[in-house]
Amino acid sequence: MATDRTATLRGAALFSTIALALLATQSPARATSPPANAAPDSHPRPRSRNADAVVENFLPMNRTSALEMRVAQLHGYLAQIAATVPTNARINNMGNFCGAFTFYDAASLPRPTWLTLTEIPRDRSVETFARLALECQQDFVHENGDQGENGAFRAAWALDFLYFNRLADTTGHSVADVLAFRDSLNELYIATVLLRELGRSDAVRAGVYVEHAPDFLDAKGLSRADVLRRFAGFLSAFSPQEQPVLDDFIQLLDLRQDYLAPFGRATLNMMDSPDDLRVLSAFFAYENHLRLHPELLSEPHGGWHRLMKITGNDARQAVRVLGLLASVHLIVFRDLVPALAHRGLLTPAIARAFYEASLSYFMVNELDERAAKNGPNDHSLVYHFFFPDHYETSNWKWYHWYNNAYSGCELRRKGYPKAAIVGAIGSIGLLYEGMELNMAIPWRETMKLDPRVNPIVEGFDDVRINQDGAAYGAEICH
Amino acid sequence: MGNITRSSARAAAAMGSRTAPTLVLSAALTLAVHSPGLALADDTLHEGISVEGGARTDQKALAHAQADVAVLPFPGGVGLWNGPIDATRLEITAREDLNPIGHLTVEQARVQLIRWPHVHVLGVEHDRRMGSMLAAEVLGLYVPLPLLGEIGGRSWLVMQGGANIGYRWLSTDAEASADGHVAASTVLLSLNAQAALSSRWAVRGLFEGTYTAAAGSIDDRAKYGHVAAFTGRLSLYVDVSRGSPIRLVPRTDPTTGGVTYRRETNEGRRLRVMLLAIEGETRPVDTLSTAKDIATAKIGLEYGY
Repeated sequence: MATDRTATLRGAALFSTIALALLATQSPARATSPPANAAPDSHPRPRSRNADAVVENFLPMNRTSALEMRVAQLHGYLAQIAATVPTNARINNMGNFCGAFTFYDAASLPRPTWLTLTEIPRDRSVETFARLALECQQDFVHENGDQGENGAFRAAWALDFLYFNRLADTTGHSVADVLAFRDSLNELYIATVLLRELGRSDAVRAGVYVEHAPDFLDAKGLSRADVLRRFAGFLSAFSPQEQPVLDDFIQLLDLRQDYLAPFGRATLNMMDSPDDLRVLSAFFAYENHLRLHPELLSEPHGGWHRLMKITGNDARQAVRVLGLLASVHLIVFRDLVPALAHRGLLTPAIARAFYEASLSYFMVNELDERAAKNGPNDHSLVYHFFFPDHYETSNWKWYHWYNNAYSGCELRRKGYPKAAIVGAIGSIGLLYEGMELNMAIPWRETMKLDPRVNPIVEGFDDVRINQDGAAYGAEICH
Repeated sequence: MGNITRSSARAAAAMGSRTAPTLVLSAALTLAVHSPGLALADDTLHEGISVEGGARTDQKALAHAQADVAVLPFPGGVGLWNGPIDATRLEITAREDLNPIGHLTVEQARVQLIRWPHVHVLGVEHDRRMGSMLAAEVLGLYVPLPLLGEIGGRSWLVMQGGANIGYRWLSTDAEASADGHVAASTVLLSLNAQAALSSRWAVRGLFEGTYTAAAGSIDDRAKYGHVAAFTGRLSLYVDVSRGSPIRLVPRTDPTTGGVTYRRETNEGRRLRVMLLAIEGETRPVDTLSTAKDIATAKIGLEYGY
């Protein structure tokens, strides 16, 4: 018996040794919170090539003529990419490929998305998606009034699907190039929808009555988001100081009945603010400038330096504008743009803002990927370009950081202590990521990728970057 | 609770340590896989199909098979996932006495509708290490917390904590200390690790502490009992699949303009040989079963992620 116990204990000791060794070698590429006493952006910094860059204006997409021209440009670009793919290229069920496709479909239907991908030779997928997106626009005008833009959106999502799962390079292109192409597909989608909805809004304003079903702007506010509230109530038993923060955070999310779009009211407020719109447009022009001048991407945190220049060193405005635009791209755009158009409220200024905000979400990701440094190990990158000087992360999900920096700032302004804010954001993140494991595991199984460890590691990395963002927001808004 | 003893089991365990050469030989002749063959110890972080075989210090040879399969559509149906997912776990552990050789027994068998790292739903099992002729795990909820590991990395350390609730039919025929029917709950805390030594070689470890409390009718009297168990496993795997498990991903360095590479895991399941696994279990407290402290050596094959 003593021998058995000794063997067991030795095994446990050996395991513990390995575990401790692993702990000791934890990578420094992990996201780190700013030091508590850091005063962000208060130090004079050396001249920044990005801050000093002379950036040309980008044609404002606020008129149908501008949008038509851009759509034509994008068609030409896609045709170039698709040149090696026959013009009659088809996949099974093209009607489905070109048909209605929303973020909700994208999030909940991994198998059809993946089957679409498996139908196409992986190393030809970029070129084939370009062809299919064009075919959708040219041959598949649908009964619900769309102009085939859903094919571009679906193709962009499929490429995102590869990117999320670290397979974008299997298309035979560099990851950043795949993202740039994805962004063109998304731009085609966004431009086509805005073109249609601007026309509808103009018609409504001209007195043409357009009937519409109840939509986002009719939906009741979900002031009691039940699951979140119950979770908050549960947590209050353990952490009473987080309870009121969670309550206010749920209010800040401003969810509406039957819709997932967050920050709807705040987004509209931003679009009513001339100075926020100025920042948005200047930032969008800068992103396009970066595409033409990739040498600027070598400057550590260069994008943040530019943001500080644009905002006059107002980090609060920077996290508000980027934090909100980070939520615009898919859900808010899809829910809010038609709702505004149906009421004749989609003005040229708002259309331009939606265009720039929606695309900026993707372009920050594309440029961040291109600017990233190689990590200290053999598999990770370190993202820094659009983050403040003291912060970098191996997590590509920049929008998590900005979303929560915005939330942390707003909650701090309500008087909550930073620790409670960071704790509450962590708790809500834990709930969200836990629920998302139920989606991530089948997704990964569908794709024949490790379905268990990687989603857990990624989920908790996301919670961490959320908290890092919230901590920053709480610090700059005290 | 106090009238349940384990003296005969401890005597058998003491004999086991004297027959190591026989056990090693038997292990080499035994086909088997990837589950611990120890009560409660589980490995929900790896998914696939595996077989293991080995021998342990109580003079038993073990054969174990385990598979994560698609049996039922995920709740929500075809409309949500458009098909079934590999959530269902099937496993069985058979053992054979080595001294004297003979008497094949199913030590543990389990069918579980969903066995994921964070949630277990509707499991039915037979588990002699818990004295259960039949048991049902109604629901288990766990919080996995990565202590080490990075997105895309191949080394990690994940802690899991949580609990389940269920029912156990205790039977002396299944090596329980007494017959009975009890409601049971197990609280679990585990550390699960993988250290990639190279693209093909890896060491895995599992350390787990569990506490099971049970209450109900035992020996026709209202009683309660409990088991506290600590299990540990360390195993060495080598990937023997054709084709590299990783690929090089080129990118342009933004500073130098040169091409650099990072490593990425390829898609698909891999065939791995478990060259050796050493397991041990000790139970400072056990009033439910006659199980004894054991150590096990195993070899096996795995086809999975």
